[in-house]
Parts: sequence; C-alpha cells; structure tokens
Amino acid sequence: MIEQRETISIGEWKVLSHTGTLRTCGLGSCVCVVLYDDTHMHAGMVHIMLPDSKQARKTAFNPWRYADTALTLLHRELVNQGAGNLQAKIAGGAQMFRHAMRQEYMQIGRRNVEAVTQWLENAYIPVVAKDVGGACGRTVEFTLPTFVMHVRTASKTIKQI
Amino acid sequence: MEQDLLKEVANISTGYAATALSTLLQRQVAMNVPEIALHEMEDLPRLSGYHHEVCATVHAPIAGDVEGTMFFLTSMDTAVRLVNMVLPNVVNDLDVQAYPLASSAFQEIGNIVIGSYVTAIGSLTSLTLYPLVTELTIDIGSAVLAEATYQLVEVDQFFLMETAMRVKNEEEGMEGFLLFIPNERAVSVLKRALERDRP
Repeated sequence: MIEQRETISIGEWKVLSHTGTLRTCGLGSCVCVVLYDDTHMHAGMVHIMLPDSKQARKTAFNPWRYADTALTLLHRELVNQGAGNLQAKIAGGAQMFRHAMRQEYMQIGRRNVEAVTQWLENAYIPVVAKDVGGACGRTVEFTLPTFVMHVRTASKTIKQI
Repeated sequence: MEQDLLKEVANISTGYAATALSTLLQRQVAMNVPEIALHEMEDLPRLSGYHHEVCATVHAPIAGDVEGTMFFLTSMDTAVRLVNMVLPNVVNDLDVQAYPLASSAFQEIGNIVIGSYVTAIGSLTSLTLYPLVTELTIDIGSAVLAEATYQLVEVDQFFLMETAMRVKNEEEGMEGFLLFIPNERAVSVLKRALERDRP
C-alpha cells in the first residue's frame, strides 16, 4: 500500500484514516490543530489563521481560516467518518515579526492559541500535547498510526510531541 | 493588461534595485525577467522551493499612495557571502544572527534594495510611496511569507511580483529574490498613474 502524504496550506484541511502523514508548512502565527481518535484510527489536520470568524468582513469567507468555524467543521468531518473519542495536538502561534506588522495582527499568534484552546475546552477535547508560542516558524508533520506530531523549526531541531 | 503593466513596473524598479546592489557590492548584478502572477492566499507558503529552507528575509510594509508588502529574501549561504562582501571577515559561519553587526549589515542591504525599488516606482509614476519600518527575520521562508497573508485576508486574489537578482562572476550562485505584493487598491492606483502618462 502506498503511504498517503497530504500537505495543507493556510485555511486548508485534510482527514486521514489508518496510515499516512499529514503535513503543513509556513506556520508562523497560524495554528495547526490535529484532532484524532486513536481507537478508530482517524485524524484530521487544519491550518488556522485567525481566531474568530465574526471578524470576517466579507460574507463569503473561507471558514477553514478561522478557529471557531474550522474546528466545528473538522470535528463534524471526523465524527462523520466514525471518530468518537477525540484528542488534540496543536502547534504554532508564534510571533515572528516584532515591528513590521499591522497593529491589529501583532498579537495574533497568542490570540489564535487562546481561541483554539477555548474551543477545545468547550468541546471537552483534551489537548494531549502542544508546541506553541515563541518567535520561530514551524513545519508540522503528524503520522498515523503512531499519532506522533513532529515539529521542525529553523534551528533544525525536530520535536516529537 | 494589468499584468503587462506590473511587469514593466517590476522591470524598471528591479533595475534600480540591482544597480544599487551593484554599487554597494562593487560587483556586477544581473536580474531575471520579473514574474508577475495572480495568486490566492493559500499559494504563498508553498511557492518556490527555497521557501522551505531557512532564509534571511528583510521585509517592509509599503505605505503611501501605493500600499503593499515587500520582501528581499536570500538563502543563508548567500546572506553570509553578501555580508562578507560589505564587511569582510565579520562572519564565517551561517549564524548571522549571532553577530549583531552582520545582522544589521544584511538588513541594510535589504533596506537599500527595497528602498531603491520603491523609489523607482515613485519616480516612474509620480506617486508617493515609502517603506515603513523594515525587519530582518531569519526563519523558514514559507513561514515568513505566510505572515504577509494577514494583509490579504479580505482579498480573493493578489498579484505577486517576483524578480531574482544574481551577483555575476560568482562560482556558486548568489541569488536574492525581490518580492512585491501590492494590495488591491495599489494595482489600480499604479494603473491609473501609468495610463495618465501615456495618452
């Protein structure tokens, strides 16, 4: 069987079952959330950009960019596939720029992590592991069936969480 | 065609930037034909290959009549060699960040290149535009570019203007990339300014 490898970008998502790798890169202040069920062997990854869909100024927006709508949709997607006892691993939410960014986005990494954490708490989904905050960009891989998340940063160190 | 117009703008502006870099380095600098493409936000982190490596990036929000974001981006190897050309014997390894003098030298190179590009657009169009605070980031290129998408969250598509500059007569390639992402309004402002000059 060919191992499935899926790479997602900002505001994208992917669900995998049994075996394969989910990957996302370009994670700065964005947050990568993986929801998984290790009994039924399902996992879904989403790359979230902003904390709250109510901030979207347009009516036709991509719901996968915002923490609240993205997590609601990913949760539903996994439940539809037969996932039940969900757990979460999260990474990202750095602050890469100290100056050159519009004021409203300066603390966006921290706010993204808070929004995700709050949503998961409300949904009674435990956060099993996380690698968040700091000042460095991240590349994240999540592998089935081990359910291990590999987080790579510019310093070349790879964390397993 | 917006694309042709932007190509012309990029061509002239990168020419200025390459000349400034050449004067600074006392070496010949060549440039590629600018690439102008319409993209969606999701494309930014997965553009060209080098973005997945650690890069030295100077970036600046552009303000004035024409707003947008500019990046000057090189591989770490090129960054170290560039710094060595302007400040001989300051750094000899890849850890530019550990040497404040090297970091500020690289940032200054970025400032000069970005400044010349922006000034050229200004004189070409008689519009006022200038870089706001610039910032040096040494990190995964795709993550640095992704941070720029926050300026683009309300637009469906945007133009990415990209040109590669190359220091001539270097055995191993020494390349820097200039990226300009004008915001939505900026494109029509540029268009109007250029058409005004061309009855």
